[in-house]
Amino acid sequence: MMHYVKVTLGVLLGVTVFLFLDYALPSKNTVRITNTYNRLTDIGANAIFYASNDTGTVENAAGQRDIRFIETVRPNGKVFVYRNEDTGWIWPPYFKYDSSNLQAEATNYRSDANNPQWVSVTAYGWRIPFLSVYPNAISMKPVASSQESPLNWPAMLILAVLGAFLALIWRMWNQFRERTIDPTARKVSDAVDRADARADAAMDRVSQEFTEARQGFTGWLDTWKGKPRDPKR
Amino acid sequence: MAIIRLALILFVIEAIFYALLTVYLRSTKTEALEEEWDRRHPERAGDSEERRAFVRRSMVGFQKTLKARLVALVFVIPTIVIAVIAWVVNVQ
Repeated sequence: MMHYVKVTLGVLLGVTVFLFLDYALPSKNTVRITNTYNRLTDIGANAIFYASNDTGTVENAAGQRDIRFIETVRPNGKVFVYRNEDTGWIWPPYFKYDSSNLQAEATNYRSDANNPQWVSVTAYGWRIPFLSVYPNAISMKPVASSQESPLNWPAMLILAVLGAFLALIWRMWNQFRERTIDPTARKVSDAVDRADARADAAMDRVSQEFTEARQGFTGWLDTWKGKPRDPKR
Repeated sequence: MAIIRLALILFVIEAIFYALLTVYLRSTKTEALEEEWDRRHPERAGDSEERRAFVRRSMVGFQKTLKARLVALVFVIPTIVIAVIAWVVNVQ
């Protein structure tokens, strides 16, 4: 039973970490930009997938936010829509505050199917149409063809740093266990053993003294029957 | 305001890691010294008052060594990384 609970919790943790990294790490996609625009957008329960309120976002009295969007087409012909919001100095830590410039770049790279200009867009996040969730574009770079997809080295670098970090924490924890927890546990168990031994010795002495007292009393009673007392006592 | 909050949160996290790293480095150094004593005095290996005194003597001035001072980089490197990320994302 306990085993299944542990396995379930471990799998849940793994899935959570994977989803978190999948959402927060940058990804690169080669696309062709077809349109760029601003749109008043209702943000409700899906607010977690949008920029924080204090990153230079603009909202009207009805609580709608003016958000920049970038419409694109992928090499396979399917469409893909990015939002373009500042992350500011908050989460996720992209420290992006140039969404106006990015929007201008995107507009500059607009092209049609006859004369395509392919760009590699770096973005984080998911596209979930059901919840009106869009990935946030971070930067873009023109590429020669639709087949070209630059190496996603930022994500690799972040994963490597995270791995090194985990290894460091693992080593620190092991050192702490070896040098602090284990000796303390040994000391406590030794103390318990000693207390145990002392208690045993005390019990032995009590029972021995009781036996001696009883033997002394029986010996004295026996003198009434004319038996000689044990000379040892 | 956001940048001040970022700086504060960053400082707290850095301070925690500074403390953890300091303790970790001291611990590994102490362990290495104990092993050094055991290697030099195989007949007196193991925990003893002598070995503890040796470790105490050898740890004097440890926080002045380069290795111990480099731990202060945990206050510098994240700031540089943030500056680099901000530059790459916004200026390029």
